[in-house]
Amino acid sequence: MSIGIIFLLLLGFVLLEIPVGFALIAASLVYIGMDGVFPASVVASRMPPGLESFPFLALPLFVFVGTVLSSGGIARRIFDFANCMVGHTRGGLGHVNVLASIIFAGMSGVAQADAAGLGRIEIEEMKRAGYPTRIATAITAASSVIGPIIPPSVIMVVYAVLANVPLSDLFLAGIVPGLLMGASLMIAIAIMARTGRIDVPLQPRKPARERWQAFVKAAPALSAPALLIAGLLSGVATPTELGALTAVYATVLGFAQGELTPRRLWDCAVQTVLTTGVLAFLIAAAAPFLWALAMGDTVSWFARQIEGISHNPILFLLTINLILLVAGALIETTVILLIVVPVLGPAMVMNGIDPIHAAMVIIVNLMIGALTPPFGVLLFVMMDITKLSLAAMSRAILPFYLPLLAVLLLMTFVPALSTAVPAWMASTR
Amino acid sequence: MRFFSWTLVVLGRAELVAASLLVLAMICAVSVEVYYRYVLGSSLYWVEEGATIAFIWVTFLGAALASKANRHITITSLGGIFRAGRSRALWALGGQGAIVVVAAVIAYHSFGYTTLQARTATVSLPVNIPRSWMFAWPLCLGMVSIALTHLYYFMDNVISLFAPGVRPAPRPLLEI
Amino acid sequence: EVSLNVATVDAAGTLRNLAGNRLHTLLREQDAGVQVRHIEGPVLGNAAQVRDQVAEGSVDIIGTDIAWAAPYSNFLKATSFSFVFRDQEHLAGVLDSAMMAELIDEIAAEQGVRILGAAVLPSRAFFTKVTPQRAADFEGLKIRSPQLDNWLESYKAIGANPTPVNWNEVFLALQTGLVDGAHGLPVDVQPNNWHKAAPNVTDLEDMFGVHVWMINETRWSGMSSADQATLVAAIDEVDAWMTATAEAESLSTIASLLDQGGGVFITHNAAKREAVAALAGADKVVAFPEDEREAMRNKALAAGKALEGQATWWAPGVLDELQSVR
Ligand code: NA
Ligand code: NA
Repeated sequence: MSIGIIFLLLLGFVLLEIPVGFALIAASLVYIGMDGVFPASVVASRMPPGLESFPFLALPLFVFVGTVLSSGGIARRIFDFANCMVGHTRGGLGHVNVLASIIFAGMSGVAQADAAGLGRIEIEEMKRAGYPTRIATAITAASSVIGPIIPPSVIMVVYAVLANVPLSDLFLAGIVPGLLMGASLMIAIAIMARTGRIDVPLQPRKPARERWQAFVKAAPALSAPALLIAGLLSGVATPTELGALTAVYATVLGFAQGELTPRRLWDCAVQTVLTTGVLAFLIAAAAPFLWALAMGDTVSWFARQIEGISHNPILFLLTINLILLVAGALIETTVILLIVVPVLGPAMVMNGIDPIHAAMVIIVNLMIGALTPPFGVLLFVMMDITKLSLAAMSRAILPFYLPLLAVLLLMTFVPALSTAVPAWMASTR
Repeated sequence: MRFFSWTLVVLGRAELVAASLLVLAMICAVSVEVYYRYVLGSSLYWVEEGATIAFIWVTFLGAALASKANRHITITSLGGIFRAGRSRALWALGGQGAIVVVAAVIAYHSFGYTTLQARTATVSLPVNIPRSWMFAWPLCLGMVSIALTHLYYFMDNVISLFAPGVRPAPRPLLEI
Repeated sequence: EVSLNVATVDAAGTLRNLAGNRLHTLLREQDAGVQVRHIEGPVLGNAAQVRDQVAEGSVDIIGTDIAWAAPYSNFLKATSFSFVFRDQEHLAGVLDSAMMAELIDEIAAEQGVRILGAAVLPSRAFFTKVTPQRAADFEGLKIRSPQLDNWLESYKAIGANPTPVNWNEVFLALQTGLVDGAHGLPVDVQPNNWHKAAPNVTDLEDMFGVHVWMINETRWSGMSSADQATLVAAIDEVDAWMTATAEAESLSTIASLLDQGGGVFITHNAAKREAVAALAGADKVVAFPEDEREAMRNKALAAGKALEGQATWWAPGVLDELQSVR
């Protein structure tokens, strides 16, 4: 029986408004039942082992860190610091917004934490300074995709386990593309400010004393990314263990700053349980689905389909970019990751593309997809905060796709942007 | 119906407390392991396996909780075709019913695996835990809880079909 | 015609993966009544997970290291304990013994998984930055371990400090000093680059690799005896090929690892030293004193004896029984 049927089943169940996790299970159950080769009980037996992986533990750990950063007042201090540094420039708070996201990304592993936690502060401050809500929202949404590109990153954790690549290499590979995305957004903001598309009075430069104070307050958070990367490079701990250490660090910091209370810490744990219950459950639910795909030899089927374009790695990557961008606009990021990576990853490596390069192209692609209507998770988070309509927000974000897509193209053509840091790291010992 | 929802809310609170404690325990255990290895120079090799078991429990308890808080990722693009009203509610009803069936089937099958998986045990923990407590049991218990939760939503939906002012989406049992 | 799903878990191009492909080709060329479909790579899960799938019947056969069968039998655990075997012939003798045949039937009846033939592979080697010269050099050495209790206890038995690390992360763990050493078959190490982080290769013949094929017992007993014979013959042929290939490539692999990593080869075995010296140069080879190895062996066997009779460990007298096989 054709393996394509399982995708049709999935589509059908999703349209019935069954949550994606249950739709994946239902599709596997019906497909394996119809196929008749295996007992349907295989679906139940495959689900929990899909989670049996030490790297996956990093998922709840970094989700927890994200919640603590917001509840513990750390996001606020990061914003204040960024404001003191670049707030006085033309398009000031736009740059502040991006810079704060870059710093925040060094501790947070999920884009939603950036958009919802830090984003609330950013939008509030920008509105107060006279920025139109749609521009504030657009910059916040666009800059939040940097979160999972700069390490740590939950999406990289999932990718590493699914595609069997070292998580530490992926973390290191994200640094340059993440900074490039930040830089490209800042260039776009600078151009918009010069051409008058962002027209807000300049802020006065903050006095040196105030800048110093903001730096001191933000210093522990600023040093966290450096500590994390040092930890990765020096081998104090694996990425999973770094997740736990970052969680402890953020918690201690929150308490030391007096903004975290036991009550709030408990809420952070509760939110972590809920997010894990959604994301990790999706991973478990995808396991029997992927098992059925593997039994149906989907990887070699897919490899045959793309044989024609596979001789030219660049053309191949461009095609994949196009497919993923369209898929990313229609389907939730984690879901694509779970279904596409196990098929696409091996096919790309078979075609001679470096696994780390392939991973970064796919991940950046999916993050841009999370920003694209009609199904962009980050847009939904923003709609929740600002009450803007999906249409208004999509229009406002339009100019920011350009810099992000430019970075994606650059990354596609220049593998070194992704592979140089892990390779350099490998050569230093 | 009142008693049913009360029971589910109590169950949800229990899941919430158990899973949150497990999350905090996971963070502590992994941190202590790093401390042992890096500072004391000896490794606590049971942490990896122990934390993995905790993670699997957190996932399925969390999934049950996410059902009660109505947080599972759902793509509602097609629902827009139906205007709010009876047809929309009937559409939602089909979805709720399907979840009940799926969860019940998985609960049933995972229960069937408990004996098979109990043949092998964990290896590094101070006590040997049968692998069924790592795999089949958390899935089975989580799915029973999920099946009951969506059965409640299903029944609530049926009742609302006959009440004035149809409301198609389930009102979450828990607001978290 | 019987069609069996065979999974080998290891990445494309590894010995096990090639063996799976070979089994497939062999049966197809014979146009036999039994055919296999080889599912390559870790797409169905890791070795322990696929082993469970064989037990429950959703996968028919797994080709993997014998270590993953050890949880099925406390006796089998003893065969994956360090320094239990004097040499490769001793191990092969145990695998061929009547004792083993009895054990296989026992496991099949109790666990629903039957072991079909085993291929003896070369010994595992330690990959380290340091160059161990004495038994004491292993004291406190952080050695990467899989999540298997006989492995953990084996490393503890020689005084080392076992540290569980995911197979994929071993290179990084070695490079960053998370662990001081890792233990594996040189042919498996090459694609994973361990030698570039831990260049010195120490072969004390403390553990040998053993590849086994495990089939679901229900599936097996449902096959006609002619089909069973066909399958076993094909498996035996592939096993012989694996043993020969691994044997032939092991020393040349070590030589190329030394060449790429810049390390030395350390062993008590004079014949191996000579062979590697011929390939890599005499300056690349260092002797490990026989008496120091003997000291480690005695330490390990004493630790193994101490485990005898404890819950989840083998029965008293098993180690002596294994020693008596010739
Ligand atoms: Na990040
Ligand atoms: Na931002």
